[in-house]
Amino acid sequence: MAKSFSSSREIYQELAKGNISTVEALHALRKLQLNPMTPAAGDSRDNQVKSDDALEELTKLIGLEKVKNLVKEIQAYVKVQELRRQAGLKTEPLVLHMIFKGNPGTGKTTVARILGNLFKELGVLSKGHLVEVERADLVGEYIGHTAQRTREQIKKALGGILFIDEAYSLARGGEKDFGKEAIDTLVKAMEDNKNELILILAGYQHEMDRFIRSNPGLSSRFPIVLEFPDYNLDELMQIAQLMVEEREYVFSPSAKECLYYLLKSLSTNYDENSGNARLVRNIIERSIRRQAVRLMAGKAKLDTEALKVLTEADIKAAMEDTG
Amino acid sequence: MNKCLIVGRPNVGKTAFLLSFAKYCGLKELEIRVKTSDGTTISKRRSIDAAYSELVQPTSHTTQELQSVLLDLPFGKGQKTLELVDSSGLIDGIHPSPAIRRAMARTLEAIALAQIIIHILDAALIGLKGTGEGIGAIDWDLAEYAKQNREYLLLANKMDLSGANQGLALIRKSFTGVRVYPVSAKTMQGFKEVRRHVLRAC
Ligand SMILES: Nc1nc2c(ncn2[C@@H]2O[C@H](COP(=O)(O)OP(=O)(O)OP(=O)(O)O)[C@@H](O)[C@H]2O)c(=O)[nH]1
Ligand SMILES: [Mg+2]
Repeated sequence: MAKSFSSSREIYQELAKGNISTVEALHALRKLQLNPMTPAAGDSRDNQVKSDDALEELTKLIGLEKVKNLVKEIQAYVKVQELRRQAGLKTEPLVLHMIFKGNPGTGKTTVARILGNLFKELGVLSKGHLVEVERADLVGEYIGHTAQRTREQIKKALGGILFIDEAYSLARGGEKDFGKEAIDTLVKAMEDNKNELILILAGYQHEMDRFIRSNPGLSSRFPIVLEFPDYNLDELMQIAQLMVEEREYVFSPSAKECLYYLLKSLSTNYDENSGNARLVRNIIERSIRRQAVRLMAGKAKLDTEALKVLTEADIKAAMEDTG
Repeated sequence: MNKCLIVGRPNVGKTAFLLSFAKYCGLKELEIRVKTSDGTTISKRRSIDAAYSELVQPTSHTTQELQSVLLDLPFGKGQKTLELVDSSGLIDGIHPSPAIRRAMARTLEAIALAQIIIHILDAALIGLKGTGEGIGAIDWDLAEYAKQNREYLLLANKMDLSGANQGLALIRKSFTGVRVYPVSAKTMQGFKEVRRHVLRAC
């Protein structure tokens, strides 16, 4: 399920954000170079996904039980508020701005995208698209520039979700920094576009906690907090299984065992990427290439079975590449 | 003016090659232009030796900005000007540091803007460790991408060190169909061939 990108700029940004590895970025760039896509294609496809699909998509994600429950709660709450409104009862204003905390590769962007579709189906948002930005997209170079850039991004996100990755980086640099101007513009936009914009602030757990603590006004403006824990070993294995099935490969039993122990050994040393689905994807994609090298080098007959099986040796070779 | 970008994994000797090659081309003092992350360019003048001890380090990710020098290469009766650009090293996976990830993104961005790519490998390390640690997925993919529509040179660096010959053999075997130039940023061996190729490509 390699993601398609419509511009190289998007690829550089995803790489900088840590959403894709350098190898993945190079693949994507090469693909783009070979067959450039029209920018609109990706967007319209995203918008066609309906909310039932959206919820189903959410259920299909491995792990993330707390996140799923919270999303169901939000969905129920939104529906009941609407029914109360129709019955002429008092309703609470819907404040759906959120904070996402977790390491890269734990599903934050995926969940944000699904939420966009869900809110569209529920009638909360008119478009439900997701605009992902980071500090560099909001902060400008001189006074006034930041407000202008931030407003541009807000405009793009109207009717959908504005997802700000590493949001705390807006608060670094202190009073004189233009990040503050971005925050002020965002706060104003939240008031001005109450029914047309949902904001999600995302980033590492600790940094987000510190950011919220040092900006006491934020908690009330962002009442929904979702935590994205690192995947545990079983979940990572499920993810691995799903990934190879999607690609029409299978693990040999010893390959699976080998992967399990590898992931286990990785998760015991402290490493920010250890509980990370992307690491698993990297290993699998690399072992798929290693399998190809092994098949081409060997003399065995290349029947369907042989073309599908990833062996222990492929996984090991892939891990060596990771260093 | 032609832009020639030096790329490769961290610590393979990209910066050492840039400085040493500039020296080989007759420069004693350099004006190094550093493109900082916010897009501004700063210039600093250094003697090559001073630049070498400041910018070349035995650790990874020493270079995190694009830094370039201008070279005048003699050509027939005249000369050709080349901008030689050094970049931040690329790794396979996702680096935990946002600053380094952004630096790598700028390296990829720079590939798109260059006419000539010099891809450097550490032949000594490859001789010592084999393909796993010495040549990674990043190298295959970098080669595939950089070769498209661009002049592409593959350099096996650190040939002055022992074990580099085995590394060179392994590199030649792994990258078939690509011309590999054995060089040493330390002794300047192999620079003549590299310069000839670069000149032809300009
Ligand atoms: N013996 C020997 N050492 C070299 C050679 N080229 C580079 N080195 C050493 O390798 C180390 C890394 O060199 P750099 O030029 O800093 O490497 P780089 O690729 O620019 O590294 P980053 O900027 O960190 O990505 C330094 O300790 C250099 O002295 C060479 O040809 N021979
Ligand atoms: Mg360097």
